[in-house]
Amino acid sequence: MRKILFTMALGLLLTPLFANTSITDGFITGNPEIGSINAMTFSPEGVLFIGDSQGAQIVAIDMSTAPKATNEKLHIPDVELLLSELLGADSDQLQIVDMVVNPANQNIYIGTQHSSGKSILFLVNNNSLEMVPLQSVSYTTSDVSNAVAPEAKDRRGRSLRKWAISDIKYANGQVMLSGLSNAEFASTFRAIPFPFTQKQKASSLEIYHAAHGQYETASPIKAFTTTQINNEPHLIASYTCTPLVVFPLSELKSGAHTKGRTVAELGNWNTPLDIIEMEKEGARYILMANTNRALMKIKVADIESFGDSLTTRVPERADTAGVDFINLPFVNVQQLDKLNDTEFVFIQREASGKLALKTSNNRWL
Amino acid sequence: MNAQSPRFSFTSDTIALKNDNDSKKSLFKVYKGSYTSIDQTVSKKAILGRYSQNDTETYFIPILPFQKNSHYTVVYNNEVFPFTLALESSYTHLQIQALYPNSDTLPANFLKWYVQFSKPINPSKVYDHITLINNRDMTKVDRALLPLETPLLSNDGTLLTLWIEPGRQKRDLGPNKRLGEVLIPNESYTLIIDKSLKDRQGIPMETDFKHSFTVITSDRTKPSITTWELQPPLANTKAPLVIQYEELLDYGSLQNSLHIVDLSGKKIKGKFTIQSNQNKIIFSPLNNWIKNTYTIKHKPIIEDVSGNNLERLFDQDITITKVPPILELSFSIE
Repeated sequence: MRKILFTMALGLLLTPLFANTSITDGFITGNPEIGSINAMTFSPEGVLFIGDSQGAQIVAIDMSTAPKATNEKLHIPDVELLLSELLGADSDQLQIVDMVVNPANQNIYIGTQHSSGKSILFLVNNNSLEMVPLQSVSYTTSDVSNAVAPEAKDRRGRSLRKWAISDIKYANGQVMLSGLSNAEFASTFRAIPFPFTQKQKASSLEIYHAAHGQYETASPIKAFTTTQINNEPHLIASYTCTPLVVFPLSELKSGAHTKGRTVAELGNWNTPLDIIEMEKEGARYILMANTNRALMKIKVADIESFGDSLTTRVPERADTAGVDFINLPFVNVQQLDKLNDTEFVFIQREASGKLALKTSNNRWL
Repeated sequence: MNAQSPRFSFTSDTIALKNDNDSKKSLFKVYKGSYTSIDQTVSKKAILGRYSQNDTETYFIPILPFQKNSHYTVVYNNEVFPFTLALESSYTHLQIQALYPNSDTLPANFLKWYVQFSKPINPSKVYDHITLINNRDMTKVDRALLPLETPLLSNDGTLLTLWIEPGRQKRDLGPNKRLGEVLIPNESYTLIIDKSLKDRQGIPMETDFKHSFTVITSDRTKPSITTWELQPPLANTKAPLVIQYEELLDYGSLQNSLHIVDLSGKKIKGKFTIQSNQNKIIFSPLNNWIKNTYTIKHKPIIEDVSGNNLERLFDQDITITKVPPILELSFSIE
């Protein structure tokens, strides 16, 4: 979903032709039979990765040759009304699941889900939405079911256990997935090398959260991104229970019992929705959209210089602790992605109740 | 179906138009909403779908089926044809079949419910329809349930997991310290699932679901299978093995977490039925029991309703040394 600095750097070393031919090796043309679109992200070359909880798979679709959409004066004042008209369904039957930008051409894609269980992908074009047919695309898939608990069924044969994909990212040649189980409060984070091969298995991690040194709990990751921290690739993740944590990617080894270094607690009852990275005048910033807080801005340099983990007690600020963050004047942002080097695109529930798609820029950084 | 449209026929997934001389020239469009003139549809987007034609009829197949009890309008040759698809009188409404656990007492650090619905539910904004009320003053308990934008639903869409806000149940985390645990000992509460919750056809339930309970002190001990009571069946029968336990255990964590082997380590074929609301697990063998000694093997993820599993507490005190859990129970059939 997010353009990531170190994968960008890697991308620059390769010619686009070479990158495209190698990364889409093994892709076939056809219908990937997507069960549900739950989370989406792009590789720098324009491969769309869809996390499909229903189908227990990751679907990679080559979008690098898709025509560039017209996104001048980008603004859709009422996305819900537009979707409701296009699909002939009441707004409460429809949900926007994710919004991602293809870094190769700045096309904006919106994944939606209807109450019937059907998922539909849209492209933002001319301030409207165009359905993206997925019946015949160049794609490849990776099964994630083997990483999930075996199928449990009740006495009527209904399946009970579910691993719901909460976020997906691509970096360093790996597709990373976080998810929530409906049965256990377990941390289920997976990394799968890309291009996918038959033999590769997802590495599965146990991630724990240690609160102030004494208690630790399994902690599902809700949203995450990757970035360079002190010149090392790191995962910046936020748990369902509010702490913001960082891990070196090198520590994420299969089966490892890993504790993230907590750098901030982000406030009560706050579930992060999307995390992106933006840059301005050489400084890097994390922007985070939340269920119950304004859009937050955190300086990456502050995370780098924050030596302590919050596992030792720290004096608390009013509601939160750890590295400084600044609340930007954007509340109820439900979807967020980097549009280009200077702009970000977001979907916001406005005071009027309408859900609007808008852009803003790095003057807020 | 609408009386004004003799040439059209409507079903939930197709509109058919009997062809005349014009049919081949222009297709009709379909809009959500009831309109009486074409002017009203100008600013609207037509519903997405595909068309097909044969010699006698032209068809429109929408991407999503038309909703029952909703208004739509066909625009064709400068005329409007509103229509509505009525809900069948025999329609079976969405119901809640079971709540796990349904106990009328729960520990203060209780973690999650499972709600079994009679059919798949509308997954959008599910948590907006669910509230927890403190019975003392009938006020809503703020920030009680984890509001996920993708609800935790089983693949078939009928089993919903409701997490009590985990940040408030974990000792020492900010929300726990500032707001305390969601549930206060000796208080009583009611979980309400509003009848406005809809099924996948967009049809709501007919009645609210309510479940009241009283809160007792937190459970900070791991469950142990050593206290489980077995009622071994007789040899040469297919009688079920009944496992009875005293502590409330988590419905989801018991699924697929047990199996039985004989002395040679061979897995016994059969089916486990989880009756967690009766504190009971029943194993029905496929074949007759034979005289032997058997072992029930348990996965460590089996947990109580406070998230403590056989191996570790939900919020583990890492200053205390871990003791390996007992995961096997043996019994003999004579």
